[in-house]
Amino acid sequence: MILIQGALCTIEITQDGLDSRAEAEAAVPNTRKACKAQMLALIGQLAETRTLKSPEQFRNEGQGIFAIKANCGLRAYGWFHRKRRGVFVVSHFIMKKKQKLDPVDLIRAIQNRESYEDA
Amino acid sequence: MNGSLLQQWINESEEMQRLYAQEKLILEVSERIMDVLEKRNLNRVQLADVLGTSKSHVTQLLNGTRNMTLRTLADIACKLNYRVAVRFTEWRESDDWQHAEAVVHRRRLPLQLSPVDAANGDDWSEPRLLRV
Repeated sequence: MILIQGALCTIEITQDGLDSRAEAEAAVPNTRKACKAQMLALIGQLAETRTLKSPEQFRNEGQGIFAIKANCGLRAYGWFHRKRRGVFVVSHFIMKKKQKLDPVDLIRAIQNRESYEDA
Repeated sequence: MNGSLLQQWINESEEMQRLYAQEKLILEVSERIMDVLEKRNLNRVQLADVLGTSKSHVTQLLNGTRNMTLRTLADIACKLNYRVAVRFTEWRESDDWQHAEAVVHRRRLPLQLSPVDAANGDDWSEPRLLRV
């Protein structure tokens, strides 16, 4: 499903991405509501420019999986589609406190990539 | 972006629309500053040095964890030999006016500088582009 079509990149989202958003956002503290908006702004910016310049906000986690990171710990994992140039696919959202990548999220994103690109 | 799923998420509440406008502005300003740093071959440590502050402070400003005042923004621009241009844009207008490369890639239409921007000389950081 298409999330947004920007000038340089189309952002798509998996079913896991759609399903995980509410749970991840529910874990954001009420005092950090702007964090949800920041995530949307980061995704919108990625659609416009195909990259984000701040490594704290857009990080290659390895094996072609990228993390889009809002300040409060809200994250979206995703990848650039290997067969369709200019397409970034959001795998899933999570809310986490620690900076370090949880291998479970890397595996989850890789699995989503396999099923999404094979579909 | 109008009609997109992302826009629907933004429109879920008035509060989200307001917060999104804040975060979008913060992000755009930060991205433009990092564009200029790239052009000047400067890193955050060097920017911190010329501003007389720390790298962590600069990082907090660029990530939006610390509010950037207009004075700080003007200081950054001044130290980088730029000035800041402010433009209010209707929400329904496309965002891509600010990304020359994006316009060229997407539309592949000839572009020209507006007379006002051209008169400002080469130091105009992000010339406005007109489709002709």
